[in-house]
Amino acid sequence: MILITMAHYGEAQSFIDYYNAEKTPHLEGNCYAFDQGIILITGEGIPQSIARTSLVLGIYPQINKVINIGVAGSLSHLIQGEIYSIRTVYHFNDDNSGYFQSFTSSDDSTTCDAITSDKRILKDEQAQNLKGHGNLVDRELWGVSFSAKLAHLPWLSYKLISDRAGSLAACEVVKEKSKLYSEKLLNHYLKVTTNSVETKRNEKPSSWYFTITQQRDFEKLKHKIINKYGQDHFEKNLRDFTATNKSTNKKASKELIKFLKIILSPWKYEMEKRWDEMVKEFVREDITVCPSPNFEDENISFAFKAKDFNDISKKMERLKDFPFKRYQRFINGLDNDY
Amino acid sequence: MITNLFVERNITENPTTQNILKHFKHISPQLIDNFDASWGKRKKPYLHKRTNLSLYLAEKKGKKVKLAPDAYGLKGEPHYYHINSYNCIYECEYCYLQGYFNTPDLVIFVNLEEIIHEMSEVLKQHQSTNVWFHAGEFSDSLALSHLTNELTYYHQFLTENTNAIIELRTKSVNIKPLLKLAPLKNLIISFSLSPSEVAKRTDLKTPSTIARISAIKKLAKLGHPIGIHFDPVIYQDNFAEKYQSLLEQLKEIENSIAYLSLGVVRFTKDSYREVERNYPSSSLHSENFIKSFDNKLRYPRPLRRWMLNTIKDLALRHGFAKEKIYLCME
Repeated sequence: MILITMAHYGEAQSFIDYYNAEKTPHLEGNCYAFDQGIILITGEGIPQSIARTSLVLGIYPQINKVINIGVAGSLSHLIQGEIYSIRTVYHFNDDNSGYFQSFTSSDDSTTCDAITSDKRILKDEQAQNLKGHGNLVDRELWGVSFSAKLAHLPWLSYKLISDRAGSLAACEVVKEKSKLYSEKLLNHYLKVTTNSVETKRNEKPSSWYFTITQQRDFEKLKHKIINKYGQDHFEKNLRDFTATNKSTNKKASKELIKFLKIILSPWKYEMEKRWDEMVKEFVREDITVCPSPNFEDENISFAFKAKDFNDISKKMERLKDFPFKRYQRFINGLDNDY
Repeated sequence: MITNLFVERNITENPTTQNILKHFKHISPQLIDNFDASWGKRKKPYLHKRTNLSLYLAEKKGKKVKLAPDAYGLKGEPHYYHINSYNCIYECEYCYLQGYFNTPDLVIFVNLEEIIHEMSEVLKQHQSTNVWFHAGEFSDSLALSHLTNELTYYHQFLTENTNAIIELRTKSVNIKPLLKLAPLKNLIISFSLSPSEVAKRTDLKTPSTIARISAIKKLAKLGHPIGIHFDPVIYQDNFAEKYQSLLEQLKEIENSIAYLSLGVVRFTKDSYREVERNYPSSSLHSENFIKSFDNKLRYPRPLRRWMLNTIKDLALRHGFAKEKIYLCME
């Protein structure tokens, strides 16, 4: 379910008509519902937009995406009448005050940044102070995206440039053209939403039996190996493994995960092997040997169970054989190559 | 790409400001009272620097020279760093600046005389020893030096104070401003180098390793002392061979190399989170880093030490003096 927000009814009217959206009992007539979503008139200003957006997100927990649509004033060379998708929104006032947080939309193809200001920007000197921090200025987006962020929802925003920020008569012009702007925004919205592509789900190699944990490990390792060595390297190794391991059961999956771990970090496997080799005789005799976490210092702890004093003496005697020098060489990287 | 220019009102007549403004005639500068009022006051995503980067020209107030952390340079002499700018035009995937400031926007401090004055004051405290001043703690110290003209200030200071040593840390090949200056024993140009394959993967928008080595050779031939930082060292297949080849390429200028520093890749928790956010496909996420002795993310100690030992042994075999090699931040 989608939440479409606009600051004013004028911007929303074409959407309400197109979707046959009906007034809900919420928010004194500023909230409309249709089959696939909700249309919300947030009003101008950050407190209004945060309060109304958050309230609607609470009433309709099915909402999984927030889209803010509306007009904005240009602070740079944006073309009047064009619609821009927003990358990041900042809160900035002409006296430099504002909140630290900024919010970034889920559209990574755009480079247009917005500023939400507490005041209408009606004078050129006000606009001058905002220039350089964003490409356009509006009154509500920061609040809408803040609410979306709190609800862990992705957001998008499309802004039609109605005027150059800093002109006194801008509000009147926007009012006059609101129907036209609303239609233009609707057409744009319909165009971009029909072009959206669903992301591909992760896939596991066919016919393999994976537990949920193994599936997660497999995906992680696959991603990391491809990142580091490329797709071909991953596929070649997977082919090599399946050529020599015909079984695809849970045990074989475990072997596959181990194999991929070695492919990803051969040094890690080698390091663990060396440690296992060093302590294997002690482990065999039920003595647990624990290095400091990640071998960061030279301390080792030993633990064992004993049934009598004689047993303690025997195990203590055995511990005298622990290869401390070898261990020190190991943690100082002085043994074999990796 | 610099798209906006902010200039503090009180420094508009400063010669460095004037020089920088000449380079950006196409951008009309906005006058501001104090860069601190807006720079870093909003969380600006790091990668916005690719399309929307602001440059602030400002006056550095407060402390301009600070004591460097331990294991920063060769032992036995005091090390300081001076603050001449914030942020960098390059984009190294591992760069700690990603998580350090709240913005990638650049700041250049133009009150160079005051910075130099503070360096002189520090020198007075250490009259019987050499004192190191490192540039480039928060930026690349050569990349924009043609704009700032700061090298001439350093040059004069070093000529007058032979117990001061300035290290310019860089990945840039912008050596033109240096070519105009006579080499000085106490002006060391130090380059960070990695094997080509690694640099290609991680040092985005920087000159290639080959280009850096070519710049190093040019400077060395003119008599400029060179520092080499193999930092960050990142594990890769055929590790020793790749560093062997890098050292091989430096062989002909070995006598010009004042020191070789070695440092394994490391991240604070915050900077690693930024790397994950900014470069989700980076091969760095395929490394198995652990929380190390100082809470920074690193390779486990056995591998770290092995990598450092391997490079150190190779360097010694190439004729580097033991006392010229130091381990950075380890």
